[in-house]
Amino acid sequence: MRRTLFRTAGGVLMVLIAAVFVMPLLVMLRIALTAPADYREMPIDWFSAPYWESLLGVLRSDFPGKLLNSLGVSVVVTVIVVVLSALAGHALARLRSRSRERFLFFVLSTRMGPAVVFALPIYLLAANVKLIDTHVGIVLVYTFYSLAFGIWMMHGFFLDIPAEVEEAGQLDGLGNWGVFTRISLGMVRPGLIATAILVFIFTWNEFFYAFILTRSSAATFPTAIPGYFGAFQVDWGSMFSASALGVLPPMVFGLIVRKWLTTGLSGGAVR
Amino acid sequence: MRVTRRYLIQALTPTMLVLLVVLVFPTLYVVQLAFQKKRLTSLAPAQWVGLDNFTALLSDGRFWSALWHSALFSGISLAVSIPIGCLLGALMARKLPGTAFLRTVMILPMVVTPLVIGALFRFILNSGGLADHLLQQVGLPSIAFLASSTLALPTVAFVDAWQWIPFVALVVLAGLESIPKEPLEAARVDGAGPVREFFHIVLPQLRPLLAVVVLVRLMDSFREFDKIFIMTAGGPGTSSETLPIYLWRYAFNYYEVGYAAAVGLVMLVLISLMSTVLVKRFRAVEGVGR
Repeated sequence: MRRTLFRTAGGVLMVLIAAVFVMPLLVMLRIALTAPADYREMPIDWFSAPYWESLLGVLRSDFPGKLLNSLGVSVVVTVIVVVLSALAGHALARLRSRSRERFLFFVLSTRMGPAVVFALPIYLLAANVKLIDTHVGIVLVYTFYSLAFGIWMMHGFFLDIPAEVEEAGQLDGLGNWGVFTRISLGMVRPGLIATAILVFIFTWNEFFYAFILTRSSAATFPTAIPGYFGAFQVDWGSMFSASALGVLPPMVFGLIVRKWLTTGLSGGAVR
Repeated sequence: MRVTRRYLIQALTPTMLVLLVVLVFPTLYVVQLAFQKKRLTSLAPAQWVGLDNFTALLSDGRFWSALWHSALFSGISLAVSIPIGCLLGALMARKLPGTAFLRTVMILPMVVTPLVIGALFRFILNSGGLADHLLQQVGLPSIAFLASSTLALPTVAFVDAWQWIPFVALVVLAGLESIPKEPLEAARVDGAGPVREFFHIVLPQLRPLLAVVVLVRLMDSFREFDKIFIMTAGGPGTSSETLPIYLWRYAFNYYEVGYAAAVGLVMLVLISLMSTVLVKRFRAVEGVGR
């Protein structure tokens, strides 16, 4: 009896804690569908009829174009990063451990630099070669932004392959490349997918580089958000409509790779 | 498998090229700019000015307060997110009903665009907003979370903590699940209470993992730009201006590129100090997580 009571109380506690993390997101959805006159109406009326005008306005603006940019840029970056980091990750995992550590330290250190520091020289260099506000420019920067992470993840997955498997391939007459493409790649498929989705999420969510390096034609979705904050009033409905559309993909993908999310975010320390 | 030198070169070259173009050049350029006077708006060529940018930097009170704000932001964010995250992780390890649901839900703050999270909490914490309403409901006076120069920075730090508590909790949970059960059972047989159990058996085994969490959180909070930018943009005044915001203002609002590069160089030095510690820790835990 006491045990049941204890477990019920625990369950209620879990739901309350979950609410702390979900409620703000629900607020976003509700305000996205609220008429401007009611933004400041508190408490929030959860059950009044949805007001669709803000969302429709956002869909008619240039925002879908930005979502499309986000999608294109993120997909291309993901493909490039996954290919490069599978190659580099495998080579690194087969290096002697001293050189591997040295190389990994270098790779990791590229991940430590804040975007604000690198954005300045990258901006000046990009302006010189006319890459500001181009897809090529932002794809290059994001490739760099995620490459270290991808290599770090992939090298861990390749380390998990038992040495005998690859050696058996060599005995069958395969060269290094043959072993890599025919044996090793297949064995790290879950790792490839996890890395790809995480790179996609990070690229999709990145704001600062896009804010500095794009204007309109290559602008990704987060760059649209500050535009809804006017000097005197905020268009909350449109801002949250745009936000809700924008956070949907990373949320879906995040739930798919939830097992690997902590691994990715802790730099591979947790598995 | 032993690999040939040729294979290594072929497999690593593309990566090295990308890193060279988008990392090495910009880094060298930052170093160069830091010793130059260059304005983004003027066509005049950059002038070498030696250490002028750094002396100007060190005598600028606003730089020191930005440094202090950065320390405060990281300090508050970590002081809130780490203990609460640990507690939550430990709670979830008890497998109470609803844990699976919570585990799923906690993924969301980690993957939602940080800029959007900032915008969302700006709405919630606005004067006359949801937070104010809740305060009034329990009979408290309203608080100007974002409009007060004393509260703006801690408030934004709390939002940062909100976003990363799930990360800490899930790492701790994973760590707890991988701890071998035998020492715990032995301790229970010896009659150790839950508190002693935690401090003498669980915590020592979690320590290397926690070190990684602390350092990852430290680096990330030190770099944080998006949420501060959208919630306060460093304001009111400069009361929530951290180093990244300060650098951004000088580089892209005041166009003092040389000066901003000097700030960037200082940040890089601070970060490499932190990352040296971080990498050492990574090596220390290599055996733990895998």
